Amino acid sequence: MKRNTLLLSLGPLLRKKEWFVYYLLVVMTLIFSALLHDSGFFSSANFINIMRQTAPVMVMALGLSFALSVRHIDVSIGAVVALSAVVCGLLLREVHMIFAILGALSVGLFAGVINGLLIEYLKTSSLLVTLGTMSIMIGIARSISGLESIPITNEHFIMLFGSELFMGIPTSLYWVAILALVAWLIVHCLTLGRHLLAVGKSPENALQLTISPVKVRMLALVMCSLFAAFAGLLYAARMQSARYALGEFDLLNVFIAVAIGSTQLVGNQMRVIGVICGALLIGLLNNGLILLGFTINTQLIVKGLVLVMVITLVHKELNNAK
Amino acid sequence: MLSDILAQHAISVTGLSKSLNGGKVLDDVSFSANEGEVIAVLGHNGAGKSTLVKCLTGMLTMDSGYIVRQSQTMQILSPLDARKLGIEAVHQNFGLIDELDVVSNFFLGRELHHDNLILKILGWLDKRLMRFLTGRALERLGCEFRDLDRLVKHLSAGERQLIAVARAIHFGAQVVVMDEPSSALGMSQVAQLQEVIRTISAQGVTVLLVSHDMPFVSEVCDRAIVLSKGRLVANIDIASISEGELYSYMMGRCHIKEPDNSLNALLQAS
Repeated sequence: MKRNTLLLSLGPLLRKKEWFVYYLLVVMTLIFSALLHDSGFFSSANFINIMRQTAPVMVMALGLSFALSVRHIDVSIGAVVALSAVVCGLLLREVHMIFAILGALSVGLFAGVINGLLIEYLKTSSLLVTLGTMSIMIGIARSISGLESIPITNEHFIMLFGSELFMGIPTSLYWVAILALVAWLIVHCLTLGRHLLAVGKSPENALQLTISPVKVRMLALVMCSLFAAFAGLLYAARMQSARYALGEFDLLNVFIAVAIGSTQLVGNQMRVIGVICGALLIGLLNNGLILLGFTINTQLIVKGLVLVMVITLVHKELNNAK
Repeated sequence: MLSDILAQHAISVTGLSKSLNGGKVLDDVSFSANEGEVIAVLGHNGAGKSTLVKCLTGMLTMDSGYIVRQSQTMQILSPLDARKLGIEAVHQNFGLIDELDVVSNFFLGRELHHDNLILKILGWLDKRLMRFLTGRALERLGCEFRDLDRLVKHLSAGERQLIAVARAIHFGAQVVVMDEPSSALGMSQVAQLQEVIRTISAQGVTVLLVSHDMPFVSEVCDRAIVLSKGRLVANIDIASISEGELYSYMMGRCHIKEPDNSLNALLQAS
């Protein structure tokens, strides 16, 4: 009898959309652990490695969810990562680390403001505008880096953002934790979070409540690019070099992370923990597939399938999107 | 002298016109309302009711005409202007966000922050104060909410409407524009709504009620203005008229009672 009621109460719990990402995380860990029990998948060293690799994706995914929550799609984040890393690498040669960091972050700020101005004041599609700015920024990154990778030798910088262990955990993860906390506070404790939701749900209603949708959406786009620029710093420090191609393949990873981690892709309150777990899931998938001996070609196919699957299974609301 | 006459009313709308897509949707609409008066805005679909609501709440900018309130004469060009004039709208969908709780919805767009300078700049919400004020505002309308932390999507239509009305009143609305307030409600909830409207009108709040629900209108309203093809065709006491006659005005019969005629004459003279 008791067992029966337990099962009954588990039923609706299992059907809860917002838990999807956590089940998937557990299931995937179990599957890979079983398949790879002799190649060291289920070891703390490997998990730290996975976290280290996915830290930039986590940060980018957090940023992207800001944009998505107000119904904008920003595909320029990959380019922001590359440009901010390259700018940071170049500046580290010349000036103090602080200015290099500020320089990289101002790339994000600038990109966000430009994207926002173009989208909001010309009232154009966010997808197309950011596609354009993406191309522009990749072009700039390629030309100022001279197509070469810029080695980063500043030890302080590498220690601060890189994958050095601090109390057993890579430093980049502390940054992820800090940025996740910032995102969480914005969503749950600050006025901006409420306004993001109001504008995402109904811009007209927001306007009626004297919330300016234009201002809020601009801020969301700036947050998105700033987070991407920060991901650029993490990348540069982990690779100990800055290349124009950094973040090239991450757009797919980031979109999968957000799609898995959220219950509704656009116009909803962002789920910080869900998105982080979504990114972690992608990290596990990448790592597991590599350890299983699949090539990057297969990985791309599998990840593409995952994205399509998640979109059709979880995000049915997109079917009747206008 | 003109402004003196206009200032006697809680709100006067004068010569309001609005064209949309080349067609005139509102044509020289003028009316006044006293403090605590409940006025029905009637008319068929496409008569210009919702455009009137949008103009009054600043969602559309008016082409010509102006609003007089407390000897202040101005045009409403944005929702902020409407708010400054003390005009608040309670829309059909109540303007609430399902995923937020009662308190957050209540203060949406007017969040309160902590006094601390840094927290204020960040926009850190003072949730306790907002919760307290929400509870008090709802109590004033004679209703108690058991749980202010409940998400709005779990509330009934009547409860949602109460929140929307309480919100408008709490932030000092002197004129509340309600768009089809009874359409989503059940019988008992309509009775409750009538009670709420009477309560706020007794507190001196003017209510403009856009509605198709004739029994409801004749129950709570003092006066009705009727729009037909963008023109104001009637401005009448509800008590002095039958439902059938109201319908005939909506069909296009024209009747404007004295006070506003004299107003129009004054306007033309000035």
